[in-house]
Amino acid sequence: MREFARMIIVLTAICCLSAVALGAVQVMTAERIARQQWLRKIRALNAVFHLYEDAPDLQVVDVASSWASDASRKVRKFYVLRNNRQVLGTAFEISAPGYGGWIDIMVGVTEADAISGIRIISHNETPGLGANIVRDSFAAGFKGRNLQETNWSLKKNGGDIDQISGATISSAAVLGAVSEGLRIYRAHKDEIMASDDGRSRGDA
Amino acid sequence: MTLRGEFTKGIFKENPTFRLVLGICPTLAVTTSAANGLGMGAAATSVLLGSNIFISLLRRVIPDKVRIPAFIVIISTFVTIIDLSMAAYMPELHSALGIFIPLIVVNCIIMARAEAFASKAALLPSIADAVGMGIGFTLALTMIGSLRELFGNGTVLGYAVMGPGYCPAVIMILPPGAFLTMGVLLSAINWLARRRAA
Repeated sequence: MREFARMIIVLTAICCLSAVALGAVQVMTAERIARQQWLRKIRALNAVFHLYEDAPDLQVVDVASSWASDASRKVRKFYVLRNNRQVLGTAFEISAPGYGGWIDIMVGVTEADAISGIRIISHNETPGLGANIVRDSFAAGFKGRNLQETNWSLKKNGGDIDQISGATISSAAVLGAVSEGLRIYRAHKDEIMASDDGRSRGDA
Repeated sequence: MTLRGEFTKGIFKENPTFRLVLGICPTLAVTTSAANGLGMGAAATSVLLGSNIFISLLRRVIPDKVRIPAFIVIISTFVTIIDLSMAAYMPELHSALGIFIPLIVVNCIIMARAEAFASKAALLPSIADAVGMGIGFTLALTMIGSLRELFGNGTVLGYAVMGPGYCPAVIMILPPGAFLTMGVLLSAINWLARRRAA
């Protein structure tokens, strides 16, 4: 019986100490981890929008999930970039299933509804093949595209967008996500621009 | 065995990857580049050091029947601490290694050192054992990572070494490349060890 009690006490004590240590580390790192995630986003915004440095006034618009017309491609957030209330452009984050898991993409849209740039935020594609979607040459193929004048399919299927050789699935996933996001953006543009609740303004 | 012996055995004679062939899952999975191998090795070494220290200190307190759950709690605490610290201070490496950081919990090298060594040895030998084994694991991962990166991408640690005319053999970065590299290195090391013994 004494041995039994000792087992319980020792194991409980170890677990309690572990919980205290983890709690302390979590408190110490939480702020920095949140900052790193925010920095990552800012860097992506900067890459799709060279205007950002002149536009300190960043508004984040939360998107109602009902806007996603297709459950597999989700727009996570819209960012409206303003400078003294004048809208410079919009960016959105969209996720799509690639070859090795979800691909998160930041897409910048100009006032004229053309793409100003895209940037892959995170992905799990095959190194050396699908992972090449992060290359600037691939992203460049999207610049200036819009919904009306672009044939949204890969070149090998007769479209306008250059694919990465050996990585058709990854290329098509990015293409599909970008065009779908653009459609969602166009369909809800008025709502996005109108939602100026002031809640998140200037906290960039 | 001397303290020095406990330290050096992990590097060659009992190298966890090449001699004991333990912890092969992360070894094969993360060594797509030298930097990833180095990062994974450093993370595993930190966990190993922390768990060996605590398990050695608590070896007379922990009852024999609950030693495995106690070890797992201690190991997973250190893994979570490393995971959070890497997310906060090394976000690039953290996202490159992804799921394999939390999976250090089930890395059998760490459990093996806890069970076979730290739970029976004093503090100093346990530290020497952890650092030696950790360096051995890190060297092995960096070696595999460098070779795969060299042939699969033409670079080592991000520096181009193969020249612009080199056409990378992508297969070396894909899963088969991990098995090929591991197999060639294992046979080379076995050959060396046999020659030494003879």
